Amino acid sequence: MERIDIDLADRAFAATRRNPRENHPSFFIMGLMLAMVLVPFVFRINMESVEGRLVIVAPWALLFVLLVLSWRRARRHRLAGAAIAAAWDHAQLENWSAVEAILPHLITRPIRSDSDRGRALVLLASVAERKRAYDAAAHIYERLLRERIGDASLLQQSQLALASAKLRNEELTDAVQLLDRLQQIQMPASLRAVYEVIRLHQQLFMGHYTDAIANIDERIALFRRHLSTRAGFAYALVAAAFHRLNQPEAARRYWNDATLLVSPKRILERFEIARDVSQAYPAAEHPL
Amino acid sequence: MTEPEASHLIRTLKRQILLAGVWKVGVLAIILIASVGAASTWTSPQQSKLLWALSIAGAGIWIIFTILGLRQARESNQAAVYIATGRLDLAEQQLRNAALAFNLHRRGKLLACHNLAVVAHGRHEYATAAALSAGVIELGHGALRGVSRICRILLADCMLELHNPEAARRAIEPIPLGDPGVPLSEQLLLLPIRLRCDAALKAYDHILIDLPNKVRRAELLDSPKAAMCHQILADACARGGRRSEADFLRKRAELYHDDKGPDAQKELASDAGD
Repeated sequence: MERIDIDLADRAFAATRRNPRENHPSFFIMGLMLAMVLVPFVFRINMESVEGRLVIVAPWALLFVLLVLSWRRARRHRLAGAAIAAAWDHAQLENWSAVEAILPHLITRPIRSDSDRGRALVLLASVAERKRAYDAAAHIYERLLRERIGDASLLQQSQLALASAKLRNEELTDAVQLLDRLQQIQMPASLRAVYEVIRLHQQLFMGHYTDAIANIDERIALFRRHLSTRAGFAYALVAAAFHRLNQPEAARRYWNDATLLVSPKRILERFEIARDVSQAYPAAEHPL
Repeated sequence: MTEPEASHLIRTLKRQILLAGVWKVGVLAIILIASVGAASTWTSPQQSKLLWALSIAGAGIWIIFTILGLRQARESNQAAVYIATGRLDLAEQQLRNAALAFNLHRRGKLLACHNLAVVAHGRHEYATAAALSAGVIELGHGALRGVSRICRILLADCMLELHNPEAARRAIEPIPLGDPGVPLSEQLLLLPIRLRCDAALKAYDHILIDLPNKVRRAELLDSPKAAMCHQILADACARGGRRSEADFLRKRAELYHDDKGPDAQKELASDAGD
């Protein structure tokens, strides 16, 4: 996938929409089968005649066609579901080249399950973010939320991802308004921790360094409890805040913690804002 | 549910699955013979009509039982909501009914039984959960590969809780860690249990096989489990004389979670099937 823009995102939404006429051939065959079953009860037919034999054989032949159609449809959906699951696994392992190889096949044909469709589109948005096409990513998240595609947890994650994409796209007023709104909403602690990372990024981005380190102990506890390895990204942002407030000891400590969990390369891929910290302090050694 | 009740349930399921097999063969034979008989030339028009009606009735029975089977599978999935919200009594009742209802297809029954094992595991009734999981593995015969794999992981966790690491190792031996055929979510359930097994059996060399990939997967676990895995990997590295890796992994373990000793670690690791 060379380039992801809003047009491509819109095409993906249109192409992955479930075909409402998908089941029509099956319904037609079922109706025909039912009619054939009722024929001998409604009309007097000599079962020994050619028509009689046809009436006997026809429902079974139609049933066979119906089974073949159903099997083919189920197989197609199963394969699509498996491909989405595989792409999702690759994304978790940050194997983005594999995600990009699978994704074009996923976003060009209808996806029956709403939850699978949501996951495929979130993957597209994630690839867009990696390619720094933040406007396309924000557009995808907005449409997901507006059309309510995907399950509840995916939609909650999309809200947070939208705020982050808007921030990266420098739509600061929208991003801050969205973050303020999200602050009022109840969400699971794990998502609240993700919210705090985005808020931290926003505060850093807008130069509110003192705000970024206010309640730092509570934030760190939240990151530690709920973000697991991803806490490394949050520690990098905390280090950047301390560095800009000219508190090098704290910055050095948090940068060391950040790079113990996540490599500096991955941190900088996601948070360019931490580049000066990476140049000022040594990263933790990674012997594996 | 107690362990003898679980064993009784599995025996009943075995009988029902056998009976369903006989039923299936019977209904299919009726459909085939009646339709061939109706279409053949040696039957009179009256007999032909009768046989034809019989074959249609056979197909109708098959469809009804298939729909019932689908409903059972849906009930099993609905019970998962009760499990997630902690209403284990309701979940158990619904799952027992789903498991014991007659069905031509084994899938719905085994799914219900698997969810019952998850309920028992959530209540720390490890012997019961182990009996149910072993039953699902035995009756699955490879038809429900995904469910069987999760049951193996659940069984291994129960066996660890029952201080039987050898049985735990045997349960998860057929699931290769890092196999692309095994979904990542299942690999993440498997990793802490496999590491606990190997640590309990003092198989430190085994722990160090494919270390970078194990660390990569441990990074994706939630904080307490990631800490536990890193700690076990660090211990194995230290015993294998790999001091720099051991130090690195230990520092990471401290960053993930406060170490509260082996009891806390065991408790944190035991919710694999939840």
